Amino acid sequence: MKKPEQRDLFPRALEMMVLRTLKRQPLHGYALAQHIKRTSNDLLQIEEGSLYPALQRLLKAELVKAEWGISSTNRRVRIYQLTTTGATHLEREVSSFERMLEGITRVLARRES
Amino acid sequence: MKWLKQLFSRRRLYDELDQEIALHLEQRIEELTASGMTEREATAATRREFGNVAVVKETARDAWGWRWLEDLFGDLRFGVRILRKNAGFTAVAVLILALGIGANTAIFTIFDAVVLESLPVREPSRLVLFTDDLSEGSYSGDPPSNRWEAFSTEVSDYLRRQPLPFESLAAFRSGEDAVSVRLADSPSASDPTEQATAHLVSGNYFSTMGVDSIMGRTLSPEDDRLNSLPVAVASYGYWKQRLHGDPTAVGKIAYLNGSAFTIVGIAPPEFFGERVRHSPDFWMPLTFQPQIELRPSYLERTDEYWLSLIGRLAPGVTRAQAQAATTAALQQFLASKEGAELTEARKSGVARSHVELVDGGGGISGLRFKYSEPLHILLAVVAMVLLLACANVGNLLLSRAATRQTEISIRLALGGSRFRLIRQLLTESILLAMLGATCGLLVAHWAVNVLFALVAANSPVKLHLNALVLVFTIVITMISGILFGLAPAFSAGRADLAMSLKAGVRGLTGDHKKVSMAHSLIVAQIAISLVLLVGANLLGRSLLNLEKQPLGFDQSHVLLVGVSPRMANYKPENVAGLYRKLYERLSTLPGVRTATLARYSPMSGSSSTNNISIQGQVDKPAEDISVENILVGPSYAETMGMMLLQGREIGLQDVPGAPKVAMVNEAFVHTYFPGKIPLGHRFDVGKPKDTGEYEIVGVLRDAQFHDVKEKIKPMVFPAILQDTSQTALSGGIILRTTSEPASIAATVRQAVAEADPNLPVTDTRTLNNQIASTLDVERVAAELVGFFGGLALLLACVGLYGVVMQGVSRRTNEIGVRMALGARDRDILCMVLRNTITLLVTGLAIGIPLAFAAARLVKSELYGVGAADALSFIIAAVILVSVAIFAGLLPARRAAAVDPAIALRFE
Repeated sequence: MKKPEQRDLFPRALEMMVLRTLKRQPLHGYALAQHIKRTSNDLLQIEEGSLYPALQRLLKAELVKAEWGISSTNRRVRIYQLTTTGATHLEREVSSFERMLEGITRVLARRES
Repeated sequence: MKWLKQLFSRRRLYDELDQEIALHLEQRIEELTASGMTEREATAATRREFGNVAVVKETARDAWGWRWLEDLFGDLRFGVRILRKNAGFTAVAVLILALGIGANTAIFTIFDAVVLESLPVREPSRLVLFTDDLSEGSYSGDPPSNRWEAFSTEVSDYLRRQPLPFESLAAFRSGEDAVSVRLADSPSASDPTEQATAHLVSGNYFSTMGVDSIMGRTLSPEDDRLNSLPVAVASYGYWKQRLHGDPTAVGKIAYLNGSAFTIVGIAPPEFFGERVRHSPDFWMPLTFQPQIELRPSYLERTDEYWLSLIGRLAPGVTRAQAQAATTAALQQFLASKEGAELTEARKSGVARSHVELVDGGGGISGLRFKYSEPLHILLAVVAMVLLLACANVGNLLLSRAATRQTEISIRLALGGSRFRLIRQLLTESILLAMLGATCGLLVAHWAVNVLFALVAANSPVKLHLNALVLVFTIVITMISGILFGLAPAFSAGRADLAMSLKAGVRGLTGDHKKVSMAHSLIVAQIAISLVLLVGANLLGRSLLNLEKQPLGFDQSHVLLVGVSPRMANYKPENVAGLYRKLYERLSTLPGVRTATLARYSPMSGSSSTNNISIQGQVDKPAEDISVENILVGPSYAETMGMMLLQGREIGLQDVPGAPKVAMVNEAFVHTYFPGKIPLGHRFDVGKPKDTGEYEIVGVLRDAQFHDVKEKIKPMVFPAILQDTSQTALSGGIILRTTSEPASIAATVRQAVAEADPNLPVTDTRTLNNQIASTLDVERVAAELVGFFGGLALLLACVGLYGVVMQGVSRRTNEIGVRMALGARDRDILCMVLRNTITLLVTGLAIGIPLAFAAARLVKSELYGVGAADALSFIIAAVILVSVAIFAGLLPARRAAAVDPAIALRFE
């Protein structure tokens, strides 16, 4: 029952990034993992595997949906897509995250000065 | 629904996840090899990046939230495997649990049917009765100055017209009537008439009860009008059996006691009226009381209290509100009726007049009345048996846990959580309990039928495994599964890993704790057995006391023959002739020693009380002198085997015209003529007249006519041949026979027919049987508690044997050493027995106070023994100790027979 991904990221961060990525375009699991890794400039030390439990949680909450399709490399893959509830959920999460980040930044800034 | 759909499609969800992960890994490896890595390097790098595939899969699956259910299935599968592997252990445990759970389900089924079950009518919870007393019949006299349970026509009609908070209020005759029936279309008028029971009810009785007819109609308020046509509703049973389910029965004529009644409807099969017993055959309007009862009308009499009331509360009204409103209406009626004549004494009498409404949803039930308390006791008893069964199975599991110690240690060592382990063990024990419950239901099914035949063969009460009973069984199954599973589960959860792994299969550590837990379970079993044995002893001794109680008459060789002069059209004026003829004919019948007549016999359930006034005793107002009044024929004392203490008994010379005479009993003399001779004194029955109508000519030894637990009342026995009231028509025949009384019943019937071919014989039974059936409740209770006590003792001793035996085999090595060092057989025997005795003494020390407390709770069921009856405690303890020592002796002898050479090699 250990969740290694949560040692490095605060809870829900991974899910937020997945939702954000899927908002731009539907992707399959592997592509999703590569995309997050690339765009974060490998700054976040995520085990790729932890993506899958996150995806299952999002599926259960019906924030994303999945369909089998064909990938660019001509493989049968499962393509994830944001649902409308997922979109609203993402907006809420992002704004609350931004508020939190703002708070943290302020505190950090004050300590430096 | 989505939840269920996901549950069943989860295999596919998991498969898709596996595929997806496999694909992910494949793609990554491909990419890495394409960028120049060897395949081995690529695979390793991919795995590193991805993390532990198994953990990922598991975490991903957890997201769906099915983990607990899958674990449960896994545990169940494993549990089934374990139970099958230990078939012997499983069989014993299931058997013990089946007995425990079965006993509980059986008693609860009966409890549910007898105590909890409602009448089969619409919304029974809204029904209220004005009394749920079992007694039936009417009385005449002044209006009561306390609780009103019976009503005259006048008061009943008044209350039913008032705007009281009832949806409807119905009246019914307190009691049923026997009637003769002849159907109009039977081939000849000379067909032998059949007998049936009839119940007089008000027109709104059926609508108040909430019952509809299945054919035709029920009664309606129009039927209550004085000049309405005679109509009757037939019961389903009567229609099926006597009318052969005739589809055209409605509209047909039935002659009841010679009067033509039109059958207007058939009641539904499940309906039996407000009394929980066999349904009457007919219901008809109250206005036909004179025709049905063949006696002067009660309808106009204001001093005859012959009606009971049943009401359906208006929606939202409580019983207390209805009771207050009805009491107010009753008092207002009484005050306005008596008007100006109201004396101060009557005023307070009116103020004390009231009604008490009781829950009518269960009807008036003799079974509930008789068995409610014994059933509560039995529920407690079987609960104790189940507790004991749990302790027993708990011990079995403990001993098996010892052999499973290695498995458990390995699981813990591999990182299994203790919580999961305990859950697994509890799942196993609940599984075992469910197996036990399944077999228990079979046991219960069988037991319920046997028991119910014993207590209520003639009752409409239906026994069924309904939802409530099943819920009860499931709940006790779960509780017992957890109870007996807890001890081994926690001792397993506490296990010290390293030690027990080292010690190997026979896990030496933890043993000490397990042994002490096993011992406390044995102590608990001994204590419970003692409580049950003491209870069985107390109830058994009460029963013996009741049976030994001298009744004051000789019950052997007495035949009771019921007849109905009323149905043969006799009138109070001419019935004496019939009685005389019967007396003379039957006295000379071969096989009959003496014959007599009496209004009713002992323990028949009948009772008749009157106020009397004794001439010359003006200091006692009439209402203070209430005596039981039984009309009797010639040779009464001789036939009943009652001793005549003074004077003479009533004889053939006491005929109409001769001075009226009566015998009295000892209690009468003690109460009204203490230290004096009552012979020659005179008394009147009913209102004070001071005419001295009856002369006391004899004194009989006290005899118990009712519940043996009650005190014997003052009684008078006037001569039935001299009586010309309606009461004289209710005589029955009593015969003292020379041989087995039942054997001459046919001869007697024939002789009665010779005396008057029209006189119906309603019943023949022996006095012995009539009396034996009065102690049914006590007998069944004593037998059942005795049975469960025995069962408990057996279980406890098997448990004791098992634990001591285990102790012996664990100490085989030690015993070998001792013997090698010179210990003799006897020393070993004593050593092992000491163990048994310690357990026994502790069990008794806990059990005796418990038994004492339990005995106090059943005190009201005891007769002639106190709750602290020393003999009962001693008998119970002696039985328990001797059986337990025997159980402990077997392993002890085996220990003593150990060959030291073998024992030392044992390990």
